[in-house]
Amino acid sequence: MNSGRKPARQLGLVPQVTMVTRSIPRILLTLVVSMGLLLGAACPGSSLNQVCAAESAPQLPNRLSAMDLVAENEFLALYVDMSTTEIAVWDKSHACVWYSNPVDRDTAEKVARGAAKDALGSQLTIKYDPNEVLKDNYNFSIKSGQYTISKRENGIRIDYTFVEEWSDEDYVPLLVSQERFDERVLSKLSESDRKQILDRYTLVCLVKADEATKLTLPGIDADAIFGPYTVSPFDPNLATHLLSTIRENRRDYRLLSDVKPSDLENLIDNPTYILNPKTAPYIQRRLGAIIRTTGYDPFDVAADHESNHIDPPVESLEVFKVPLEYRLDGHSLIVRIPVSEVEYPIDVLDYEGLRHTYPVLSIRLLEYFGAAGVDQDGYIFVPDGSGALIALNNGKVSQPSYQGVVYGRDNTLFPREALNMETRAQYLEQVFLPVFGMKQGDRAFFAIIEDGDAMATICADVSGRSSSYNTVYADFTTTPKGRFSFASIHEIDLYRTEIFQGDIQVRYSFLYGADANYSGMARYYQNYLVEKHGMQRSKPHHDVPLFLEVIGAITRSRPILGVSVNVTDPLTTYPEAGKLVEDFIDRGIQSIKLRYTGWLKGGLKHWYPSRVVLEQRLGGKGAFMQLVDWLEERGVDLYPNVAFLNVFRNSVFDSFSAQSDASRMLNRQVARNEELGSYILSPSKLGPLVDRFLASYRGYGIAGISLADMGREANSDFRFNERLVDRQQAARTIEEQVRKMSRDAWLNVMADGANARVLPYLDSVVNMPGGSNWYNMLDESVPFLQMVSRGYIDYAGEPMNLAEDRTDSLLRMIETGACPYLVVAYGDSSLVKETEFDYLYSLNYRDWIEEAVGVYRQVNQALGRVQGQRIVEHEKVADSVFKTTYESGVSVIVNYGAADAMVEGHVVPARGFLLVERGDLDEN
Amino acid sequence: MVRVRRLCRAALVGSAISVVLVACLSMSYASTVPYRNYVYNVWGKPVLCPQAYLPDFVVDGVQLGIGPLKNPGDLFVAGSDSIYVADSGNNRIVCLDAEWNVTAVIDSFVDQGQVQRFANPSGIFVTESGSIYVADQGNSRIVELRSDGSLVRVIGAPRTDAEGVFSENTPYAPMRVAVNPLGRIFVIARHVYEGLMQFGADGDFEGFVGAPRVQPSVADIFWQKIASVQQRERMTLILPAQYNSLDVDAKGFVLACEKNLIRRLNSTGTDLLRTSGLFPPQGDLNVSSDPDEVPSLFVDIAARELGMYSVLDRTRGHVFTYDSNGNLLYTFGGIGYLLGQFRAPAAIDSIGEKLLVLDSQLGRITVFRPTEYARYIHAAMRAYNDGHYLLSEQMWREVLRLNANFDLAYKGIGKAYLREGDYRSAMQLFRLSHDRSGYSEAFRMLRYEAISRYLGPLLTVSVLGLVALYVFRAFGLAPRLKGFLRRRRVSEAGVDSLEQDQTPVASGIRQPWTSLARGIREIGSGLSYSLYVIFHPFEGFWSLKHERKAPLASAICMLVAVVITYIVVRQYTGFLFNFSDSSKLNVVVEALSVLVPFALWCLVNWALTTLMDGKGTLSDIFTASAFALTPLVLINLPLVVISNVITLEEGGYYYLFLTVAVLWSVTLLLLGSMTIHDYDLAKTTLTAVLTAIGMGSVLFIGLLGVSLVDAIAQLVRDLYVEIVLRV
Repeated sequence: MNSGRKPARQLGLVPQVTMVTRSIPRILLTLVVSMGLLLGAACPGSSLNQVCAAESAPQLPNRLSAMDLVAENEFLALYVDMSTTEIAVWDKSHACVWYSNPVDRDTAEKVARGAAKDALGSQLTIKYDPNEVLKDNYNFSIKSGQYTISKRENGIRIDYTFVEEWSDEDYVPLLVSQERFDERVLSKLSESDRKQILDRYTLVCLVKADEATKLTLPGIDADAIFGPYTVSPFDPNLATHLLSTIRENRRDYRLLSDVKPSDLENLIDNPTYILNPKTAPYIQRRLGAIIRTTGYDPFDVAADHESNHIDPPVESLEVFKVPLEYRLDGHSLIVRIPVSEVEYPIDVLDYEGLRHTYPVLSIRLLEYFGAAGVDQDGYIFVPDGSGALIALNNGKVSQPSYQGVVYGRDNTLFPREALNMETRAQYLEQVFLPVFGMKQGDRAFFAIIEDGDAMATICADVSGRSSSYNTVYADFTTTPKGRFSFASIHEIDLYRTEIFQGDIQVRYSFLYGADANYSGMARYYQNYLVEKHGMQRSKPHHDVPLFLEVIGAITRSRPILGVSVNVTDPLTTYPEAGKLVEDFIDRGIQSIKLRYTGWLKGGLKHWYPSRVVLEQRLGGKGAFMQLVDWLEERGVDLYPNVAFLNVFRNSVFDSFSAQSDASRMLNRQVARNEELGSYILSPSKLGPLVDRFLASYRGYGIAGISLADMGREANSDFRFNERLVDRQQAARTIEEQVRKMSRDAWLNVMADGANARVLPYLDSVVNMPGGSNWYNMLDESVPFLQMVSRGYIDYAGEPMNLAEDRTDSLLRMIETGACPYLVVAYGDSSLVKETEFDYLYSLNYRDWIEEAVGVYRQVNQALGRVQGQRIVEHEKVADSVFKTTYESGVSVIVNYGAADAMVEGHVVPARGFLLVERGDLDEN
Repeated sequence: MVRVRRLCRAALVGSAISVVLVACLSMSYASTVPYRNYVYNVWGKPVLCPQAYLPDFVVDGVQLGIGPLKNPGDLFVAGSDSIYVADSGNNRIVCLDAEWNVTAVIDSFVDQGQVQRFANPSGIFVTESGSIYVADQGNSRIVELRSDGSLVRVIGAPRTDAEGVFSENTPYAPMRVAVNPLGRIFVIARHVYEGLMQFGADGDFEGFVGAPRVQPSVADIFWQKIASVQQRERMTLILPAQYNSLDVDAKGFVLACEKNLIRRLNSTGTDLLRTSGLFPPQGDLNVSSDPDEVPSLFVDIAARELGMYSVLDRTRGHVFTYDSNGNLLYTFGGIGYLLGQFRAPAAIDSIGEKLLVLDSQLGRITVFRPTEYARYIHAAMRAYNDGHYLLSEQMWREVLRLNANFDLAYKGIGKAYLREGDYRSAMQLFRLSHDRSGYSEAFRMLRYEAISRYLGPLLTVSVLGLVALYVFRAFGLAPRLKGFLRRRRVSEAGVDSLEQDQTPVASGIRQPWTSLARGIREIGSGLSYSLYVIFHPFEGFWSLKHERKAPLASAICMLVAVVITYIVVRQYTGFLFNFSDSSKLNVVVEALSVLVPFALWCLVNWALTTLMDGKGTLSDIFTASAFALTPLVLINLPLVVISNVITLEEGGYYYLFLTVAVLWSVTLLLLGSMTIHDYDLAKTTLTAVLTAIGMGSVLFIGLLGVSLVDAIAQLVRDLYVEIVLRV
């Protein structure tokens, strides 16, 4: 197999790739396949398209018969095409095949051409620097056979070596002896091809010179070089051309006169072809293409050049090794890349002795898995914000393709100046869940990124831009890179010092029929979180809880005796918080979750939380304990809010030192979040900090805690020592801490935002996005995040008093099963004016209490009956009309439109909702 | 006002808050819209506000069933029910009704029996009577059509041979057109920098109006003056910028925009735009030197009800809406790929309360609907306009409930309080909204009320006082009291003289506190001597120098007093006369801003006068200069008090006193310098001027030194960074 392949550029450092002898397993596999074919009575007429076979006898499609079965369990079978390393998963119970690459691409592909079309056969694409070169594993590995396949338990492993193909030009010798050229090339060519080649070459040899043919070349001492010889046929121009050919292809020569007599030895009385001067590159490529057919390859060119004392074609240093593993696990296919085993050129020397490093920036995994063609119907699901759908073949090729960075941006990686307007747009509404999927017809695949999630970007595109297929996949950043300016002028790229050491692992699962939609994906993912991460059902409440956020204190600068001083201004003191809550209770709200922000010393931007220090201006410890006791008495859940990942203040005495405890950026500077005005805490310091805080917090006997930033952020620490923490480790550390709070300290944890890593351990979530970012590429927003959380976590969307449109906000609460949420303070709203907290522009609770109670009643009326229940189905029943069905069978239909809507025989009022309970209806 | 702006600008440069940052003010709550609403506060800092407009939906040509729009150039809403789009790239006009149904697509018309087509129709305007005016750019003409698409007339290029505006190379290319209620036609044409082209109702060219005047800067004029003829010729002609778009408002005025400027022109071309807001309507305030932060570029303007207008900025895709006074009401939109953002915004117009923005690159129209917040603002302004002040107040209260940052709401409610007679609350609100005239008005009323209330008791008290005084005198109490006082004073003086007698004797064993007391007394007498100096400058400064009337310490004390009163002035001057942001007050900076110029004056003056036969020593100069500032010390504290009890109308007195004090001090400074150096007036003036120049040079050299040190520090820092990164 190897011998027939084209040679590939190799790097000296990387050992020549050897193919494992696969004959024995192959025979075995073929046996199994043929048995399978016999048993399954394969039908030769089955289509290449990815359509599920009928319910009856499962038929193995033709394409599979050309592949080898490598793993099998009771649900799935994994096939691999040994010549292309394409894989296919045969779902036995549904008689359905999932391919890693579109099988009909040869005929159906209309957009991509040439190498881009070939790339449809790839499973991996790496991006490396400098210049962010993209290389797919089809063009740079499979095509030249540079891969090895080995068996693994329940699956296989394929090791790809990415090499540079020789280009056609490299097949063209500049100087070659007539004898050898005739034998190796010209004799194997047709008359016309031979003529084409000979047109571009001139035959030259050195012969003894006489007086008439003594060479005199302008500016060159011809005697010193040619000695007693001259060129035949005699032509000074030819002699000059010969010399310049040698000089140009010798790195150690600068001038024509550098050429030595010894360089010409081989030409003496030896007729040699020399490529004509000024042969244009496109002609060289054409010649190369012809020569290539003869089997004369760059290694032969090298040999010929060597004998004529000129340099051989340059070999590429850009050689990479990437392993890829497939494994069957129950109903799913698990794809894994052990990134620590990825090899890339580090400090390799080129022929000039310069060092080069080509860091692998990112790896795209299975870009074309389950790709849907132009005739397919369905949608791509991406977890943008609450979740969003992209209709297959929606034609929006003038819009940028979808890219969602999982868990938002890494604040350590992106100092403010590195973000321009365009890149900022990616980070508006965060991607909280590392999942994606695609529905095509009555089947769907759903992928969960199980490892490497914090490094992932979820990408999706529709047909018509780069290919005729709709694709969704994950792209993993393996080497974080940042652009920094220094010396005020230069901008340089900085990398992490080593490649990401973790694993990349994606689980592909397959859904059919009624499960093959985003509701099914949400149910699947919810179940996955329960089984794998122990997500627990929420405590049943009698009523829908009201999320009440109370702001304790803020800081402002105020002149005192001519000096402006940062003073803490109380907005809601501890006793006032009690009064405020009492006002709500008095209005009949039974279930309140009180999120108390700005309660620690320093207010909203509190001091380093190494222990609980109460704000004296809010009332001190006595008043706080009274509040805690009173709230417990009245059955109000208290969640005091703490920011652990961002340190707002730094003083000498607070055990936080920016130099040693804050994260470092890639340029080794202390990392700050300029927008918040905070230091970014190094993840390695998070554990001890949380421990110390909890030790002190335990004394207050509070059952809940609210996390300001751990549900939303994951920041690396790019320290250049053993304390380097990559983003994956950071996300894992945060997960551990939240798990500790929830499972060890038995706290009810509330968080702002809901990254999948911490989601299973939360009790409540605020600011859960009600929709997607509405990129132009997206066609629909879906409450996927809510469907995953419902029944396990109480959540609220945006605060109603700061909502953009309060009617929409109310309807969205009802559609998504969210709780009402209010951010208030006891003091006057104008207290925030001209402070840095002026984003809280509508705070006074007296302004809001009546309206909030009204909204609460409406939500409670709609959702009280399904409180604590899972959402089993969400669907769009008409334009701007959505139906949410709960596990007890109750449905809530919400109409955002300006006109009444008819749904299943019920009238849903304009901008209103309707509760449908197994036939009987309750209108609002 | 000028001063306010200057201060604001200074504050802005200092804080370096970039406009771009607004896009990601991060600590705010979850948002479903990819932009933020902000207005600028009095310090020029953008502050967040609740969303005023939300993207409702998007309409493109495919949805309309007429194929994609290609580089559409303009959008016009006639009345409240018909929308016209100039689909420039497809050479057609698309007419739509309010429900977005296509009512007509006009791509040709019949002129004298011949079918004519459009070529790049880039501007459109429809009159109330339904006449459609199309700026047919490629055909160099304005076409007027009836609503059914039949031709009324074609208005070609003006005959402007005399003016030589158009040539073969720059043909007449009308881009935008508007017609005022009198039928006058205003045209913006490409490469026309003389202003708007005005055509009469009959279609005859009448001339240019509203030519943006080029205002060369002082520096330009200076260079022009000193340049040679050849150099002057080589200087590039500074062309006035070109108008980008225009609209006609409800009163028939033409609103036109160019760069980041807006003009509201009457038919004679006079600009009537009101700019009584905190900043003139210019979109984003640009103060940073960051090259990325280019100013806004207004590409279209839409006149709206109540004299409001919305302008569309191409640089950042923001839509700014101003009220008739030029106050920024709200902002929305942006550049990007999300719903509510644009790629190349080209035109804006309003339909009812909704706003339509045309994106020429994406060929689509985004419809924005107002939120409750915007509707309350509109309602409050409408109610005020109609004279329903109570309703207006209620509406402003609703606005304030939603947004505690909004100055105009405070102002609106303040006005209501003022009318109701609750002056104290009105003052508080006016103060929050930084409205000095409103505050002054409320304060005047409050003061009037207080005076009228307390005038009776006050008179009674004074009458009683007079009576008491009379009784006091009549019963001879005064002499007795005087006698008592005199006795006490004599006994004190006795002790004093005793002490003086003893001093020379007991000089060796003088107790330290006694000398301290003496020092203090000397300083005191020196300070009190300053009162003599300011009224008798020649004599005073002479004896200051020659008789050592005041020790150096008293001059230092005087200087300290100047600094202290200056700080007191900065912090405690009444709101009406205090333009500094007191929350950013820094005592060191304030003190230095007095001490540095003073020190410079003394040093430079000393240095100069030594060269110019001045007789004064540095200490003399210092003392005299410090004493010359006495009027400022004397006037500052009373002025602080006065500033808190007078209104803006009486501000004249305030500034009069201040000016008198300053002039007095300057005169004293000159006279002092004259006396101590023994100069004549001419020489004094000369040295004063030279000193001023010298101070400037020292400052310049100082700044140069600072920037040099800064550059070196930067170099060292970069070296360090490079070493750290590369090694």
